[in-house]
Formats: sequence, structure tokens, C-alpha cells
Amino acid sequence: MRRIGKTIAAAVALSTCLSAPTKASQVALSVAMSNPVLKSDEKQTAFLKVGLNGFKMPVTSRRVPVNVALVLDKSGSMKGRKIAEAKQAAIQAVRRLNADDIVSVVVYDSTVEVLVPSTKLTDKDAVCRKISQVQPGGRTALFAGVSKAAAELRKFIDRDHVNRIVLLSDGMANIGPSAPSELGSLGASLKKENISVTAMGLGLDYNEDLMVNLASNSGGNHVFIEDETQIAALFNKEFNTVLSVVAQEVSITIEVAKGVRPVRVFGNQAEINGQKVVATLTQLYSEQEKFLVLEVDVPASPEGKPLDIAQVNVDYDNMLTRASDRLTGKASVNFSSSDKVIASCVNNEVLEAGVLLFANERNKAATILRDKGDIKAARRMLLQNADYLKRYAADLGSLQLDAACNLNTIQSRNLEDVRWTRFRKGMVLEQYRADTQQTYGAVDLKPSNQYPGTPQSASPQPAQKKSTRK
Amino acid sequence: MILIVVLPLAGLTWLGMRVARDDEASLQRKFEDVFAIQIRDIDRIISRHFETLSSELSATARKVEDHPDDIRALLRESPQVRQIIIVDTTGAVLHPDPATELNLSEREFLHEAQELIRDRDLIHAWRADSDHSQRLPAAKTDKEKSAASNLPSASEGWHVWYWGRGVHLIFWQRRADGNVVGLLVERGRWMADLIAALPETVDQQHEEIPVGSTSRFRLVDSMGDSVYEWGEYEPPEESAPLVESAVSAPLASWRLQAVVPENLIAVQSSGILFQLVTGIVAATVALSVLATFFWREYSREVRQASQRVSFVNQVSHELKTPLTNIRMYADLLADDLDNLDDGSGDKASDRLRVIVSESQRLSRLISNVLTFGRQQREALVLRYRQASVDELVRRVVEQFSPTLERLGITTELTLNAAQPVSLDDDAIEQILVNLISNVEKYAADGGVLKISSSLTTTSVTINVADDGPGIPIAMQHAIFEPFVRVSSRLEDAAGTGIGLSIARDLARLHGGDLRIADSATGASFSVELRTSEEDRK
Repeated sequence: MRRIGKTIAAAVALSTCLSAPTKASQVALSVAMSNPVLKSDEKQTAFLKVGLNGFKMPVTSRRVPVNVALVLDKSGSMKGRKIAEAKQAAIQAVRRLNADDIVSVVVYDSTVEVLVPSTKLTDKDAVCRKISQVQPGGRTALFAGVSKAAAELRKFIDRDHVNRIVLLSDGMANIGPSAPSELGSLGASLKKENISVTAMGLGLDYNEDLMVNLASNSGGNHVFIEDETQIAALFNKEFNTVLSVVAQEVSITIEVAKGVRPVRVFGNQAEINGQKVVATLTQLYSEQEKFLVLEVDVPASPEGKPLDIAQVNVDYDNMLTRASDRLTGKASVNFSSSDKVIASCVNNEVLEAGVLLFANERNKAATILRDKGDIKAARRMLLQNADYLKRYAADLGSLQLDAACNLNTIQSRNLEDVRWTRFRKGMVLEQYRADTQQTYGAVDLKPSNQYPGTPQSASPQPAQKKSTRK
Repeated sequence: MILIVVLPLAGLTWLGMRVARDDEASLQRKFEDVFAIQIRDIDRIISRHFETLSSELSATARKVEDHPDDIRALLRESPQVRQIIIVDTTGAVLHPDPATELNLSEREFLHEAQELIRDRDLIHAWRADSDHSQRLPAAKTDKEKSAASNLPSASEGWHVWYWGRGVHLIFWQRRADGNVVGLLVERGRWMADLIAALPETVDQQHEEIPVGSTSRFRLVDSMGDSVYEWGEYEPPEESAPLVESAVSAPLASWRLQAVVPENLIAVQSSGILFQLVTGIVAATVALSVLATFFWREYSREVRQASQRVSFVNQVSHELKTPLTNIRMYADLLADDLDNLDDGSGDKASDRLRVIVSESQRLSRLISNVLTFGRQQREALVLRYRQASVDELVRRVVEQFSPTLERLGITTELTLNAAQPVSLDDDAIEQILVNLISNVEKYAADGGVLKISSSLTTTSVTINVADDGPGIPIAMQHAIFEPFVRVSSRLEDAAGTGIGLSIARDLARLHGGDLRIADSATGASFSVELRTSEEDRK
């Protein structure tokens, strides 16, 4: 396989705070520090952002074929409109695919049925007919459903297809392994085969921790479908992303320079092996950015002496050129005693991402506090978070941080709400979306019609426009 | 009559139930056998799955190099493996080396595996001498103890490790340098792959495993929680399995279960039950028909007999009136002849006496028949009157005297019951007549007829004894039954065979009895009569 070495100079200098230009058929790598110029003679913490931007697929080119397994919950709780909508959504999704794609359909209740064994989609009608005949009833063998789907998908696994399991479930897994860690373990294993699982939770009875563990460990998406009427729309969005994959098996290696200490990588499950940070992304989508933010401790250094922070290598499979590409970038900082100089060189975009993910970690901590029943501490943390985000939103003029600030404020009011089950699902979903830069599926902040009672005190917030993030 | 039907039916039902129960038990055994075989087949799938997995992991283990970066790189491309541990011959952990900078996953693993690493026996087993190393793809393992410790020659095998949410599998391999490489198998993954290898409810891949619509197979973990299920039958929660068996190593703490509906065996055996019920119904019908036939025959005979009795009754009644007239006119005629002084009537008188005697005999016969008829209709009623028993005795003996004289029987009376008591004199007379008739009939060879009577405050006893041939002991019970006679030969004696029966019934009606009394010779009867209530007062 052809390997194209491309060096993208993401050099940061005192005079220029620019990112390098990119080729149209390649993923764009941006490596940048939140503070290209740091205070001299002081040990400081800074954010390093590694951003990957999926190129636009040329209209003329053939879409990347997919190998997708649909896993539908047909347990008793799906009876009625839920299963009807789910079947309709699945049929619509199948109709969008073509003969180059590979499809399998697995349905489960107490037991599992491989409704459509993995096959090239040459006979759409047959597949759709089978889906339409599904009848609900029984309990929820979620783990087994995903297990069988993975086995189906694996039958025709190759590097030319986008491998994806799309799981729709409305209930607690009550037959078979059901711990979030067990689903996470399966997800992590699937990710190594470049199979990602998108976990869609329907209604209010599913276990969002289990779904998030499965999705995040496998690099898929997570969706909270509060109302069955949204199933088709969200399926559609999921397939939009699946069908817009431009790169796969993206492996990011950050060699952190000696003396600089990598502290943590937000969100993304990266390994920090000493000075070497390794992370993998299963897929990159067309015209979408995925990034990771590494927090580093920078040692105290004298003014005017540039310091290399990290060398970044990215290897990926280019789905357009069918080649393995390599991108490199590096980041360094300089030091100044002048606050003015320091401030003038701040990379707003990187800082914004760092602040956002930092606040997201605290948001997760607030959820844990709330789970433990410490509502007061949880609220305090969310309000502190809101303050923190607000400060940076003003400094950076960031709409995104402002929206996140509002989200934290609203969440702080919902901690004691009788609809906490619902709000928790929304909270976990937003945490996941922030970590993974998932573009779709933002939670609806307005109270759902299915809950009678007083309207929420908060006025509609622009926070739901999170998808403005690019 | 009902017994004719019920008893055989009960017997038949009991037998049938036993057969059905035996059959059900054997059916249950058959079912268990069938499911046990299926479970064995499933277990074979599991064993094969782990054999394949162990050979894959064996290959992976051989790729493990010493440098942490290489190990981490290998982990990133090995979906089956979560972590890798290397232990040297002294039991020290070479990787993940706590002295170096470890990533989060490695630190977590070391933390979780502390107990495992401290288990010196285990480490010892892993690094045991490899002089004659042999491949054991699935060395049997047990909780916290590798069975490999019993098989020190094994160079690789499974170790089962209980931690957190249950069973964890470690595949270990001893290398040439004596170090042991342990691969912690990704728990979610091996469970998923195992599930994928097992059949589905609607299965297109495992044709060798029949999936009945009436069963549910379950793979349950060491905690008894279901890991995976298949089969169309949806059992209620907590339903007990028909057949259960442990899974082969390394998952020896897991079990395979077959659950069937509780009524499955009942449904299968209902065929036998149906046959049984059909048989019983048929037998009932047949026996009922038979019983009805017998009943109708019996009632027809009873009806005919009672018709005969009633005919005889009517005839007797009809006979009685003219006979009474004959007797009356014969008596009158005898008186007239006696009044003739010339003695010319003597011969005629003798003949007339014969007529009177014979008519008396006929009269007795008829009254016996009529009494018997009333007895059969249960219409025998006593009419109490004041009467002297001795007088009655004398009157009856007087009646019989011509006949007795002719037969040469002398009469010896010892009468001590002259006082009148309350009794039915007609009935007593009939008793005496019947007894003396018997003497006349059976003891016709002469001798003495002894009649004695005695009286107490409550009863009268009359003894009638003769010098005749007596009653054979074998007959003594039977003679009181109607129509039984000591001799049935026609020429022996005349009679209807109901005399003694009537006599005893009449005595019993009086609250007394008629018994055969002890006697040295001949027959001796003893009549005991309770005198009526008012008399006793």
C-alpha cells in the first residue's frame, strides 16, 4: 500500500499564529497550543490541541461503501408505536444504501434472531420485508444482540468498508451481561477491529451509562431519542455520518518532548505511555473536525528560548484515495515576561476547546455527585462550571462557551427535578457529544410534552445550538 | 349390582394410572436424555470455541516481546486481549513494570491483579519446569487455582480468575526463557464471541443443533445469571431447568440449562391418558350393559316368583272357603251319625272321620301357604288374645289324635302352662300344627311324641320331641329355610317345605324363637315365646 508522507508544518512562532494549508483530498491536521507564548520562568499548564478535519468528498466520487449491522430491540416494551417507528426508520436507512453496501439485521428480545445475515444489499425489498415482519415481545438480551451483530459484521470485514453497528434499545439489558463495564469491554475490543457501535437509547428506561460505555469505547455515536417520532430523523442523521466517512483507523501519536509532562487527554480514551500519547479514532467524517486536547505541564523556562512541546504523527486510511496516509505536526512554545505579548498570542480556538473539555470533565463529576445523592455539591460544581465558562466566553467572545455556560446553569436547576431520569440522559448525552465532537443529536432542553406539570423555569436557551461547533 | 361395575373399574383405573405414571416417568427420562444429549452437543461447541481461541491466543502470546511499547502496540491490534502480563522465573512481574511509567489501563490491571500476582502457587505453576512440555490447549482450571499446578509439564493453558463482575480468563504460555506470558482476555469480547458461536432461536448456522419450539436453552454464569438464551419457549422467570450440566473447562463454573414448559411432558403423556380414559369408558359401558342384563333377568325372576306366589295365594283363598264348608258339613254329618242309635252309622262314621281328618290336613296346608304369602308381603301381623297354652296344645293334639293313633304314636303330655297369657293363639296353633305335622310325616314308625310346656313370667316354652330318625347335623341350619326338606324324595313325605320356616318366623314375631333342642334320639324342637307386654306388667 502506498504510504504518503506529508509534513504539515503547524509551527507556532511569535510572529505568526497560523495553521498550515491542506490538500483537498487529505485530512487536515492542526496541532496548536492554547498559549503559544507562555510566561517565562514559571511552571505552567497549557492545552495542546490536535485537530483532524475531514476533507470534503468530491461530488463525483463514489461514496465509501458501508458494512452496517442494525440491531433492533424488539422486547415487549417496544410494542406499539415504538417498534413501528423503529422498523420504518430501519427500512428507510436500508433504502438509502446500495448494492455495494453490506447489511445485516439482528433483532433481539429474550433471545436473538439474525433476521438478515450479513449480505451484499442486492435485494433491498427482501431485507425491508423481513424488517417489517418483526413482532415485539420478551425481555432484553442487549449484549447478545450486539455480539451476534458483531459476528455478522465480521464476516465481510475489510478496510474498504465503513464498519458500523447501529443499536436501538429502549430498555435495561436484563438478560446477559448488563454492566456498563462489560459493554465497554466489548466496545473496546470492537474498536480494535475498527468496528464502532452507535448506541441509540429510546425513551426513558434505557441505561445511558451502558449505552455511552459501548459507544465511547468503540468510537461510535450516542443518541437519546426521547420520543419515538424522532427515531427516523435520528437514524437518518446517523446514516448521514456513516455515509460521509472519509478516513478510518486514525491513529494519533503524540511524542511529548522531554521535560514537558503530559497530564491528561480529555474525553478521548488515549493512552499516556510516559512521554508518548497514543489515541485512535475509528472514523473521520466529511467536513467535520474531531480533536483531542492534551493538558501538559510546561517547565519554567527562560524568556525568548523556544521549547518544543510535542511531535504529532497521524496515520489513517484515506477512504477516497484508498491509501494509508501519514500526517505530522509539531508544537512548540516561546516564553515572554510581557503579559501583553502573551495575551496577544493566545490561540482562542485551542483555548476554547480546552476550556470546554475541562468544564465537561467537571460536568461529569457533577453527575457522579448527583448519583451519590449529594445534590448540593453537584449544584455547586455546575454553577462554578457556569462561572468558569462565562468568564472565558466573555474573554474569547465564544458563543460555544456561552452556550455551555447556559447548559450548566440549566442542569444545576434540574438536579432535584422529578424528571431527573430524563435530565440525566440529556446530561450524559451532552457530555458525550462534547468529548467526541458528535455533531448531531443535541438534547432538547425544553420539557417534553409527555411530562405533565409546570413548565421549566428557565427560558429557552441558545445552548441547544451546540451543533454550531465546527 | 353396582359392585359388579365399580370394583372391576376401580381395579382397571388403578392399574391404568400406574401404567400411565410409569409411562410418564419413562417419558420424562427420555426427555431428559434427549436434552442431555443436546446440552452435550452445545458444550462441545463451547469446547471447540475455546480450543480455537486458545490456539489464536497461543499465536498472540508467541508474538509478545519484552519492550512495553511493543506490547502496547500488540495490544492495540489484538481485539481479544485486554492486557498482557509477563512474570519471570522468580515470580517478579516484568510487565507491566510498576517501576516504569505505566498508562492508566496498566495501572488498573496491576491493581486488579494484585491478588493474582501474589498467588505464589500460581506463579510457581506457570513457571514450572518445562522438561517435557506438552501443549494443553484447555488445561482444566478452578477458582484462583490453575489446575496446571497439577500438570507442571504444561507449557500453556487457561487460568480462571474471579474478579469484579465474575469470571476472567487468562491464557498463559511459558516461553523458552522460562518467563511466563499471561494474556488477560477481554471479558466482554470472549463472552460476545462465545454467544456468537452458540445457536440462535431461529438458526441458519447451527443445523446440527435442533432448536425445539418447546424449549429454552440457557448459558448461566457462576452467579446463576443468564448470559445467553435461545429457543422459542419463553419460560417464566426463576423456572427450574429440566436438565442442567456444567460447561467444560475453562468455564467450569458456568452451566448449561434446558428449560421446558412444565406441561410438556404431561402433554406428551396425555396420549396414554387418553387411551386409559377410553379403556375405562369402554369397560364401564360393557360392565353396565352386563349389569343391566343381570338386573333385568333377576327382576324378571322375582316378578315371576311373586306372580306365582300371588297365584298360589289366590288359589288357596279360593280353596279355603269350600273346604271350610266341607269340614263344617262333615262335622255336622258326623254328629248326626253319632246320634243314630242303631249303630248302623259306625262304618259311615269311620269314613267320615277320614274325610274330616283329611280336610283338616288340607286346611292346614292352605293356611300355611296363606301365612307364607303374607310373610312374603311382610304383612304378617299378630293378634294377641288371652289364651291358655296347655289348652291350645291339647286341642292340637286332639286334632292329630286319629292320625297319630293310626301311626302307632303315643302322646305324652307334660303341661305346666295352663294359665292364660296374651298371645296370638292362631299363630301358636299353627306352630304346633306344623311341628306335629313333621312328627306325623317323618317319625311315622311309631314311638312316643313328647310335648311339654312351661311358663315363666315373661315367656312360654313348648317342647316337641319325637322318636323318629332325627335331623342330620348338616341339615340343622337349613331346615328353617323355606322349601328345604330333609328328604326330597317324593315318596318319603308329603309337604310344602315351608312349615318350619313359618313356625320359626311366627315364634320370632312373638319375640321368641324356634330352635332344635338337644335330644338323644329323634328330633326335638323347642319353641320359646315372649308373652305380650301387658301380660308381663
